[in-house]
Amino acid sequence: MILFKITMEENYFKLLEYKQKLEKTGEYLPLEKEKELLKYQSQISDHFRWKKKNHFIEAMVHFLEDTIDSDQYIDRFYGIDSQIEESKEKLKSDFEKLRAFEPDPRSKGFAILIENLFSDIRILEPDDELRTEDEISEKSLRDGIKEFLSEIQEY
Amino acid sequence: MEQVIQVGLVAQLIRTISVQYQRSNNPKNRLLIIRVLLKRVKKKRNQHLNQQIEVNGENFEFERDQIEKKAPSHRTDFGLDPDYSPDGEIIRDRKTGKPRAKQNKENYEKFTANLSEFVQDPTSEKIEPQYRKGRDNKQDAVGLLNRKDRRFVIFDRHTKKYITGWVMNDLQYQEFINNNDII
Repeated sequence: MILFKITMEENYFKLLEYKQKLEKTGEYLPLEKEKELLKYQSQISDHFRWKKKNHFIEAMVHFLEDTIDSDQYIDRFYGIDSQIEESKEKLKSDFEKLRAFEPDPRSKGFAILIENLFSDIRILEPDDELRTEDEISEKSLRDGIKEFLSEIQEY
Repeated sequence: MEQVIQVGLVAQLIRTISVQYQRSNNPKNRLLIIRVLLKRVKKKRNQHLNQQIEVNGENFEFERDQIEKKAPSHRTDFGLDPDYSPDGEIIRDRKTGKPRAKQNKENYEKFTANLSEFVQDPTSEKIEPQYRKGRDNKQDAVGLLNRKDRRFVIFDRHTKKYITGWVMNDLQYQEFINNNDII
């Protein structure tokens, strides 16, 4: 198990290095390699977003209970995520820490749940008159939160 | 010419308001009527600013209304400078968290030009994703993607009208390459 883990991490660094090398010549990773690299990177997102799970849940519950409005909900979500981005950047800039980094296995698949909620925020248009075909109402935003809340709480 | 269009539109607006007003006694409905009409007038007024482009034999359209709608959130992904607050801080868009660009005619035009340039760039690759809207709705899209910087622009696959476009983050890109979904 330990041997497998080390190999996996080494592979991540090899892929990163390969990507940077290709970028210098204006090329990019073949799709399969890109998928592999993204899989590693999403583990970092999973881990840091999962660590803030309760903050996200609190914002969701407060919005559903009308303790905060949609603007406050959006601000809270971005506020939490900017702290997460800071942590991720700090980790990525410290090669030794990154090498020693072990994502919590319980966090696997968590980040995309939150990303779906951000996706809804991006296309929210509360005003019926201004809403275009590619946007959603506040009711749809709430429905999405309700749908994801239990899934997020189970993590 | 533009002035003639404006005068004609205003006259049309007044006529329509009068008719609608006579039909409705409810002040709330009257307000709604005015808002709908103003929206329609704005759409008509902007019609001559819509732009069409051809990419590999396909015609796509940038409607000015949609450009104005999407521009504040995504312009800085397409080469426009961010706007700053009086205290020197970058102003961020509330819904995307990305830096906002100034909202003015010059920037709308520059944004359209940059989007056009991007979709006509031979290094941009054609994609046919599903654009996810909310939980269960998906919109058929067609667009162009630059795999290197993960920038994309999509249009409705049926009407060929511009929907949106931005730089995908890791999770969005992963969702796209695994499931062909833009979220």
